[in-house]
Amino acid sequence: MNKPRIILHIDMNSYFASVEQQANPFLRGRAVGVCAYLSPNGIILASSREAKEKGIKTGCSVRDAKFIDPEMIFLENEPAKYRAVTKKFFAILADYTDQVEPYSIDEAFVDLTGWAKDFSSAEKIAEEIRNRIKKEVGEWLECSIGISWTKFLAKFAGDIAPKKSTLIIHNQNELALILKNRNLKEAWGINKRMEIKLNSLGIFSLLDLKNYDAGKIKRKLGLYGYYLWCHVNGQEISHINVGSEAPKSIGHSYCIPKKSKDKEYLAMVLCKLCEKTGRRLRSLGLEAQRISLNLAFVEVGGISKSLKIQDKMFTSEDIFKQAEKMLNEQNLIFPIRIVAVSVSALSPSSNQMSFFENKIIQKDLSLALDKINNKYGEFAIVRGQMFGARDMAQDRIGFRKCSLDS
Amino acid sequence: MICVVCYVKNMYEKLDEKIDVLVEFTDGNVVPNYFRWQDRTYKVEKINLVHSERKGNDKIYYFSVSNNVNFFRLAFFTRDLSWRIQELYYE
Repeated sequence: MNKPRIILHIDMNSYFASVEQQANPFLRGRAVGVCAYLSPNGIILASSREAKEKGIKTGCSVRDAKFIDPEMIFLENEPAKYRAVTKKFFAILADYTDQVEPYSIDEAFVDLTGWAKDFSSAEKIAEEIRNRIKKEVGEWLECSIGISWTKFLAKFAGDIAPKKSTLIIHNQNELALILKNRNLKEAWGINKRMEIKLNSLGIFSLLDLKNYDAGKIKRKLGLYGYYLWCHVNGQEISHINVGSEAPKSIGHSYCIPKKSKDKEYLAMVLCKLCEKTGRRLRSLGLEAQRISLNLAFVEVGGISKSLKIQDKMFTSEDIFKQAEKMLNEQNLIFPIRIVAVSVSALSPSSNQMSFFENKIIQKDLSLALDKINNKYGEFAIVRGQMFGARDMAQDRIGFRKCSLDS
Repeated sequence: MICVVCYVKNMYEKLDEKIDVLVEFTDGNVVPNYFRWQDRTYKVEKINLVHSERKGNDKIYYFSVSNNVNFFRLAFFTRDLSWRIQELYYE
């Protein structure tokens, strides 16, 4: 019989804000919000423990947070700093097993199967990791740790564990007790829409979901519903993915400070986003065949367009040409607040000749420009159209899977 | 520099000035102990965080340091081996 797996999930608490408080001890004990932008509509990406105690949570706007606590300190996010700290704590995790899956900038799964004898020794390792993070990375950094036999249960345990502590789900009996009266949306992978679907089947708690008939849920909600059922029944459907998966799409977005319908201005923003997208595409040695443009109105709604093209895109000019064409085709009824561009249908770059234009020369030129930017810094050399866009769409960081390379 | 900070009561200053730094090489690390800025010498009592960033060919090491009353961010540029003070926070 196979021995049960031992999975540990680690989640850094109030990560970006804690890193800022680690760097500057005078911020400790104060409400701090790390924001994407410091404008009144800017969103708080991470609030400190002190801010959370006042009800200022992640996702709150700067304006609302200032209303709740006029003394609150707002900082613009600094990706290089968080990536550096993440690298340090991931390095600590790698001392315990070679099976570490970075799940996001502040979360990771660690497979301790074969490295820890049982859940009790895994708990000791968890404590050691927690102490080492404090000693080797920063004394202000706290984490929640969950331990169980599947990734889902380890993450669920970590999510419901009190801050700065470890929670273990040992067995099915304990699982049933923990799931009892738990809201559906507390589980990883269940959003409002899925909650409504589950409610329509008479499922109102995670324990209801666990006790539901597996065949019936698969018929009613398809494979995704069945996976949710597996999750709460402690059945593993995924394994630890060491390293990063190849991206399915690459893109950038920007919340523009000057809400505008002016297509010339929007094209300048778009040009910079296309350059950033192109840089990442080329650094991965890929080309793309699909492009998507998203424009969000200041009012509700927006425009979302996607296009599959004949010739694959590799240079920033290829991407911008398509994106600008799509932009010019749109009737902008309201000013735009967010511009986003992404490319997908990715494949390894080839040097296939085109019937219509000499693409190889353009590819070589792009690669040469990339070399200049690598040597002298981002945007050392840019398209003329990008003049004036230097401070736009700077490096930002998200919570989803992300590269730790700055 | 990306870090733009919105503090209350002008406790924060963003700077970009050359400084002289006295460092110690210990345990394989570089540790700034004192630095001289605007004709005053400051003792680094605690290094709170060290992180680095690449900007083109340059690699910059940032030291977030403090004493009892101030927070400073010192930057070491490996391309020309220079030190600069970039942030100051005081209460």
